[in-house]
Amino acid sequence: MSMATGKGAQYSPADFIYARNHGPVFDKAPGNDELMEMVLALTAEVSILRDRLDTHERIAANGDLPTYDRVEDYEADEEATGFRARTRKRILDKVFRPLKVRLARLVAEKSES
Amino acid sequence: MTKPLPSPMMPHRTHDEEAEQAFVVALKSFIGTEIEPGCRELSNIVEASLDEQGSGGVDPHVRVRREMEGNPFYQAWHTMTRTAQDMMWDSVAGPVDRQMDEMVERADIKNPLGSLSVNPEFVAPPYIRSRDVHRMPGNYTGCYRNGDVRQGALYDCGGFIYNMGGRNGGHLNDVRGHTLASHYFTRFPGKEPKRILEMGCSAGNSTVAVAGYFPEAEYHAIDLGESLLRYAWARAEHLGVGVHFSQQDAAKTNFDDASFDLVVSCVMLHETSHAAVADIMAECYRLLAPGGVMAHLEVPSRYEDLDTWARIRGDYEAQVNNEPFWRGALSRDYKAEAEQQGFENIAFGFQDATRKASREGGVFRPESLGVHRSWMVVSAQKPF
Repeated sequence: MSMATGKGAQYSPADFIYARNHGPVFDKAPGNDELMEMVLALTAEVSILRDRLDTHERIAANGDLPTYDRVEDYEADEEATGFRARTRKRILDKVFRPLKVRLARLVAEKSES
Repeated sequence: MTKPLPSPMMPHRTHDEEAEQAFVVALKSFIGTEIEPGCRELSNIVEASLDEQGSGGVDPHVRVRREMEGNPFYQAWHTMTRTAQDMMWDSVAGPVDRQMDEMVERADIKNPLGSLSVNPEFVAPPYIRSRDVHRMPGNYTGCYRNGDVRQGALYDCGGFIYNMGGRNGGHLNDVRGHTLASHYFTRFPGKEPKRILEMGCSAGNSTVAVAGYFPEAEYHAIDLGESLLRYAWARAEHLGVGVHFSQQDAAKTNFDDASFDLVVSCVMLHETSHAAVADIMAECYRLLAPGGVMAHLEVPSRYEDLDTWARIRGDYEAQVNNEPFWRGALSRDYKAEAEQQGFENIAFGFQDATRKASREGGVFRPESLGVHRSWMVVSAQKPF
C-alpha cells in the first residue's frame, strides 16, 4: 500500500482523487454502518452484472445469441475466470480508494503528531 | 441448467449466484490484503503513542483497540469485515433455500453405509445456544422442517467460500481432516484404530477425510444439531463413506467406557468454553480403551505469540464473529490439561497442513508455519 508518511513525503496518485481542502468529512455519522452495508451490496451487484455482461460478450463472440439458457449453461474457462478476478479487484480498488486515502491521511497526521 | 459445487450435497448455483459468491471471495481477500494491513499500521502508531502510565490494569491491546474504535478507518474495516461475513451467508442461503426440497430428497438415503441418530429432546450447551457462531444464521442447531439439512448446507457452502473457494481448505474443505490423519501417522505409525469417534464433526468435511484413511474401522461422529448432522451423513454417503452420526454433546456422550481406540476433533475446542474443554478431555479419557489415542486439531496460533493487532483481531472474532472462547482456547495449556486427566505420551505442537496424508507421517514441529500452512494439535495416549 502506497501512502503519504508526513510532510515532504511522496504522495501516491491515489491521494489526488480529491482536491486539496475538499471540505469537511464527518466521522461517526449516524448510519455509517448501514451506508457501508449498502455500498458493499451495490458493489456486489455491479460485480455480478459485469460477470453477466462478460458471459454475454463471450457467447456473442462465438456467433451465438446470449439467451437466458446459454448464459446459465456457460462455464467460464481459465482465461475468463482470470479476467473476472482482475475486474473484481479493479472495482474494489476503485470503490474503496477513498478509504485508502483516508488511511494515508491518518498515518500522516499520526506520524506528525 | 446450473453449475454444481464440489460436494455432492451442495446446491446448484445460477450464473448470478456463482458470480455473487465469487465477489464475496474477492471482497474477503481484498479486506485481508488491502484494508487490514492499514489497521495493523494504525494499531502500531496508536500503541507507540500510548503512555505506559495510566493503563489501569487494562490489557495493552484493549487500550489500543479502544483508541482505534473512534478511528474512521478502523470503523470501516470493522463494518466491512462483518458485512462480508454476512454477505457470505446470504450468498449461500439463496441457493440453499431455493433448492431445499431437492436437498431433503437427496438426503433420504435408501441403502446407507452408515447411520444417523437424532434426539428430539436434545438441548445444546449454553455456549452454543447463546449466539450464532461465525454469524451463521440459525447457528449449528437450527432445524426448520422434517428431514432438514439447511444448517449443514449453509456451513458446507459458507466454508467453501471462507476458504476462498477451496484455495485454502482443499476442494472439499477437508485439509484439516487430512492434516489430523497426517499427525496420527506421524506420532503413532502402524497403530490401526478399530473404532474411531470424531467430536464436533459439523458438516462432516474432516470426517470423510479421516474416515477415508481407516476404511476397516467403525467410525462415529457427533455434533449438536439435527439438520447439520443429517447433511453431514448424506454428504458422507454420497461420497461413499459409511459413518455413524449421532446428536450428542462431546462433554457427555452415551458411548460405553473404553469403547474407542481413537477420539479426534477438528477446530472444535475453540468453539466451546473453559469448563467444556476440561469436561471433553475427561470424556475422551473415559471413552478410550487402554493405549487409545486422543488428538485435537485447533487454530494454528498461540495467544502469547500474537502482536497487538492480532489480539485486537481476536477480540473481533470473539465479540462480532461470535467465537467468545477465542482467547481462552489460544491461551490454554492443553498439555498440562491432558496430563491432569491421566493421559501420557502427550505432545503439543503444529502439524504441517496437507491435502493428502502419508502413512509414513508428515512434519510435526514446535512452531507454527502460519495460517493455512500449519494446524495446532494436541495428542495423547491413555495408559495401558
